[in-house]
Amino acid sequence: MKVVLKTWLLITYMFLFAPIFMVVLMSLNLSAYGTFPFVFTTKWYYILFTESNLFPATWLSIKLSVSVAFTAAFIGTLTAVGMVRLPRKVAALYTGMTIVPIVVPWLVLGIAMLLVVTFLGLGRSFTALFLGNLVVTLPYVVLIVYNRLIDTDPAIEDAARNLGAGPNRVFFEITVPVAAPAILSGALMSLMVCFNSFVIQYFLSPFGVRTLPLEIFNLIKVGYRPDMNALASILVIVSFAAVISLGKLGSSADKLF
Amino acid sequence: MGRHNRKAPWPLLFPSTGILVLMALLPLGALIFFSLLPDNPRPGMVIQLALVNYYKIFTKPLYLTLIWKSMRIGLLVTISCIAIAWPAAYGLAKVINERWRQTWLMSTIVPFLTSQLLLIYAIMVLLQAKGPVMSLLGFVGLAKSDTSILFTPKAVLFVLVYEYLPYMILSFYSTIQKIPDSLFEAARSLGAGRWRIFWSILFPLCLPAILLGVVLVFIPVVGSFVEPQILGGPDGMMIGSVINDQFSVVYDWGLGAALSFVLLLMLIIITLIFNILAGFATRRIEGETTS
Repeated sequence: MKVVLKTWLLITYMFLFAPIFMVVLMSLNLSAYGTFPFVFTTKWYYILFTESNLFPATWLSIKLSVSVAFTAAFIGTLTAVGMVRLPRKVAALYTGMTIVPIVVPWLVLGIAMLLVVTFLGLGRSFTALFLGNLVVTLPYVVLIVYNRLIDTDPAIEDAARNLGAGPNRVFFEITVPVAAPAILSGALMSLMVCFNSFVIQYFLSPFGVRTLPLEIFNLIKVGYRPDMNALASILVIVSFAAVISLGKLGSSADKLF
Repeated sequence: MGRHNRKAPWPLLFPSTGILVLMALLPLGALIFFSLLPDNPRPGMVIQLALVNYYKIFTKPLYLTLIWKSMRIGLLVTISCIAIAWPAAYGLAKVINERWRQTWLMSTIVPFLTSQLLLIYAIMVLLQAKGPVMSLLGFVGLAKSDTSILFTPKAVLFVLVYEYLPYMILSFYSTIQKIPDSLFEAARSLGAGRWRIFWSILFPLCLPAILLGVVLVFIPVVGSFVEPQILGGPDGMMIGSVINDQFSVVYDWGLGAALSFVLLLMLIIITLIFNILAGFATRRIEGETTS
């Protein structure tokens, strides 16, 4: 039975990673149509950085996700600190409200947000794009930081208060350092989620403005592109780096959901 | 001095509440409002509410057929994910070496942090005619190497299972991991066979995971539109494709909003039914084991 389960596990993960591995392999293959035999080349990376003209979209996506991640980390931490002070039942209710944006299908949410920003006169705009991404990344920060704060012993903060530290000092010298790895994890999750939130960006980006996912969408509709393999490989490496950082920050995968 | 009697949690919650109201709750409310507008809103228009859009949805067979089709795809993908993820998560939580567990577990979220479009694209590379899978199948003689399931509804199913499998694995993992080993050992030493252990212990204790899986997999799958558009070909259309068209091709916002609202309502009802069924099953099993 154990052997069967182990084999099953192995096959499942091969299924999960084979397509990604294949893309990385093909990014180093000379054939422009992704066919065998395999001939090693770095040509597609060279083309990606010289001719593909994806730099403006990438830069825009980075700026968007960094600003969203910072804001989400700040507001999310405030929220988590506030939630800890609520009775558990009220906090659970508030958590329920916070995760609405990640439970509703993003197609429906994206459309609904487009309707509201249009009604408010913002329309498709950078403000709308920013706010839309903020609301879908906020839940990650709130949940990660809240769980971290709930797990810490409130006696530490109380002890500091009893020893004469003011509420601000307690906040900055105890609460924030204790929660720092969780805040960083939350910010990192927000960064990645925002960078990849294609559906949200699809409905809220100003017309003519292309973030990286929107650019990729337009390119892969056409079909196979060897320079896309190179780009995908780089982005997959970024994902791996993010996952390793999350692990180092003490976030376990099963607690992220 | 406990946590709860410290004052003023509410100012800390203002910013997030504001954003949630503005960008999540208000929009979902606006969906209902726009779905009742017979025309696209224009400045200076006299607002009249009507059920025209709902009338269209429930009289033209196209929309209901597509909703039904999307639900079927959602169910198929969810069941496939459960079937693959359950044994895998059990192996992850209970069988493999402790030392490697964290590595496996963290690698599960790599696809989650990778762009959905790149995952779709990766499947495209893998399954394309003359690509690796088709070449292999051609070599073995199972299919012609210059054909492919790409651009058919099968490709959509395949890519959706691939995309949502990690969620299901994590959902089952976090549930199974909490079940103490001693429970299985006790059952075994009391003479319970494999099936008995599965039905009396593992299955009821995994119901929450199935329920979470329904929320994390079924709901987004039914609402997907990118996968059908890129990989589905002419027959791969889902209800999401039609909703998207109302906003990016034909500009009939009222109909799009009405379709979205009907879809959302159905998904909420299905989730509630699942919830009630799971609760019912749990109580029933508990009753059986205590009596």
